[in-house]
Amino acid sequence: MKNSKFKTIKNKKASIPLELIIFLLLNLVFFIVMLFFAYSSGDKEFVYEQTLSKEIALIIDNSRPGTIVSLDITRYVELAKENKKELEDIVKINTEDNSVEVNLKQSGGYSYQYFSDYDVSVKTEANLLILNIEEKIE
Amino acid sequence: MTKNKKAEKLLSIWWFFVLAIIAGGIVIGVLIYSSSDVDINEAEARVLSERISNCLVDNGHLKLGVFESDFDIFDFCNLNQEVFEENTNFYFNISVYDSKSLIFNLFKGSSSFEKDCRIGMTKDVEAEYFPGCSEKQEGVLFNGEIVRINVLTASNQNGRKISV
Repeated sequence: MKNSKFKTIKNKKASIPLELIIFLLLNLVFFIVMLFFAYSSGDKEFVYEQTLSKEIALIIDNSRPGTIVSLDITRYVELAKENKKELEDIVKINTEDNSVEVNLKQSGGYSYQYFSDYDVSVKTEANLLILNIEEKIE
Repeated sequence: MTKNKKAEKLLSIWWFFVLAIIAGGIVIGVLIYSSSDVDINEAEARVLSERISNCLVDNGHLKLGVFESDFDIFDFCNLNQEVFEENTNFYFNISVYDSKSLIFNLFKGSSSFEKDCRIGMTKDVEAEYFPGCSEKQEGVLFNGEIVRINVLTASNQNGRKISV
């Protein structure tokens, strides 16, 4: 009697019901889809463009004329390369608008104003952005 | 029959309901993150007040040029005049007091920010669209007399998307 009960338990353990497998698979598929959505759908370029333009605007406003600032922009360069964007076009200074324009995609970008009246020039060397802040010559 | 019932238990309407809630949460979270703004208005206002007081004061002395008739704050402090026109994103107000009264006052930019700043500072209110403000006060020497200089600055810049 005891032996037969033991046998049935052993059999039950060995076979996982099909409905449970389907249930687990559906759960797994759902979470993979959600993870993929979270990774791919967020416009991360927009967040990066925003942070870099604001960072540069603050640097300009916080500097005295004659300052040269070297900024490590490795992660921005990587994103720009992913989007096939020329490195020289990542950061531009709009003198008419007195703003910093950052562009990490083929089109679009983000612009942020600074309040200083300086002559600012930018150049990209490998993963470094060199900001040259000079007094404006009228 | 029993198999069907087990499957119904596992794949019930409630299970789909829970998944829908989780999916909704993730989508909302991603959308909030991707459209979020990095707010540096307060930092910008602080930088502006530092800039103004550093250019007006030299070693604890108020610079002489401040009270001259042709005093141009924009030229004096390397500030862009166009950025501080009325209805722009910036504002500053410089007040100088002697022991008795206000002897000098100059303000430029969006003057409505002053009220917003006062409300935010006195009532400790946090409003989403209020400007970031900074106020700096210091006692300095002018013609051998101690005068108090007060610099209130505000920034309410949001930045903008551009289409290149």
